Amino acid sequence: MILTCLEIIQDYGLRSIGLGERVLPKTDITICHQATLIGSGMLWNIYFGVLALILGFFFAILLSLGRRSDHQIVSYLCDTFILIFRGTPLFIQFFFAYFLFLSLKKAFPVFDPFTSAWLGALIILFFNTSAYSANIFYGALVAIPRGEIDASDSFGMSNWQKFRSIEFRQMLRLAWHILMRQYLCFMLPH
Amino acid sequence: MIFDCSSPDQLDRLMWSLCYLSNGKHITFYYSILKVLVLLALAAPISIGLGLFLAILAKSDISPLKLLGKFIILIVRGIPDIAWFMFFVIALDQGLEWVRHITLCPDWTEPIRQGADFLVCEKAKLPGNSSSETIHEIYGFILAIVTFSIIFGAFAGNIFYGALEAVPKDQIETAEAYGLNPRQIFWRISFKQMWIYALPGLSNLWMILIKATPLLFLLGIEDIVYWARELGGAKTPRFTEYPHGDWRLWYFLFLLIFYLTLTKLSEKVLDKLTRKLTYGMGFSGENFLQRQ
Repeated sequence: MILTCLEIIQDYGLRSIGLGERVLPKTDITICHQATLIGSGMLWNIYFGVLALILGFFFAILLSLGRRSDHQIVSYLCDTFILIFRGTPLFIQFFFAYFLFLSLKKAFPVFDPFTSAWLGALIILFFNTSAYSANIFYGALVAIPRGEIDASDSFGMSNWQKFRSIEFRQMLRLAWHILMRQYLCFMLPH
Repeated sequence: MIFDCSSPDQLDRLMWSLCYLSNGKHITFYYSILKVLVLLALAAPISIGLGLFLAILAKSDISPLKLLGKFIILIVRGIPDIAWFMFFVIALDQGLEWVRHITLCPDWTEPIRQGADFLVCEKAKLPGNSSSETIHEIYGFILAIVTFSIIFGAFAGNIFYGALEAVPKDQIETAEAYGLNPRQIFWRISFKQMWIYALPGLSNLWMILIKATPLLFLLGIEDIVYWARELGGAKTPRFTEYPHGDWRLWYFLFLLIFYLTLTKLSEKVLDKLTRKLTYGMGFSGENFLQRQ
């Protein structure tokens, strides 16, 4: 029983990424088949989830800083980016991006890989989670006590020092719980 | 029709666009936008009703009811909603057909589940084989509304439960000191005070509900996503009077703008409502909200 299940895992475990047996079993579909095939599909969930969240984490910090920036154009651009990706359904974003890349591909062949899911969907997931996380980070940035910033200024810290040792740490601390909840929501529906 | 659209290939650009945007298929497209709005208009109040019911259940003094309420809220929240959407629609459909099968065809001997197939007798099929396309559509749409309502009802239940807990204890104690009985305390104090604590959560939920509506497409409803794909696809002169290239990009751009407007509008209304309801509540963020 366990041996046959191991065989099934060998055959179908990596099916979702194009390795192993292609033809699906027709008869005698056991619980092991089902678990293996669903588990195989989950490899994609892990790929999309981990990459989009890690890349999104860093991009979100940039976006939130950009949104807070005194430079009006930068601030406006970041704000619009966040608004668009938070204000529309992810489902529609996927469709739109796919057709956008499809038309771009016609003009520039460079965009060929963008029309396949591993890259196209990843970009949208990355942008989407960046926008949601950036909103959380922005809320945290704004919530950092004024006194701490004043104190770092009076210590003569440079902007980078101030960001690295005060703002970034406080921002993470304040945003952490909401961010984890957001990540959970992000991982679940996909 | 006001315009003469009988020979589109001879029209100038503006007239062509007007004729194109008002042809039969586009009217169906506009109807599907209406479908989304109807779904929102029906699912939201039903969810709130169900959420209130679940929250009251979870707050009940009778422990089986309390457990049941908490269990329903927990189980729906802990599983991705997309899985629920797929599950509920199939489960509801098969459940209804199964009940009808048992009552309408008692002398049926073959098993209902044969491999991957779900087979019930002719009479038990929902909707019947003879019913029209519209009936099938309406049946699917009702199933979708029920599904949305159950899922978002459980989410709302969680929000209401939290809001009932958030009502300051002093107020409950004051009510007790005035000699109100538990029922009076619940309906006159907790229930009324709860709304302002529930509002941020409900606003969030409404936004999520709006953004969940394209899932109708996954449920097989001919919704805006379906029609945007259908209408946007390249058309050759053989099949239509309005041949065009692949315009799906522009149709989906329109959908993006549609949803963006909807969320932006909701945000404005909800902000206003929050400001109105927080007035005089003594929240720390109140002054900030009032100033905006």
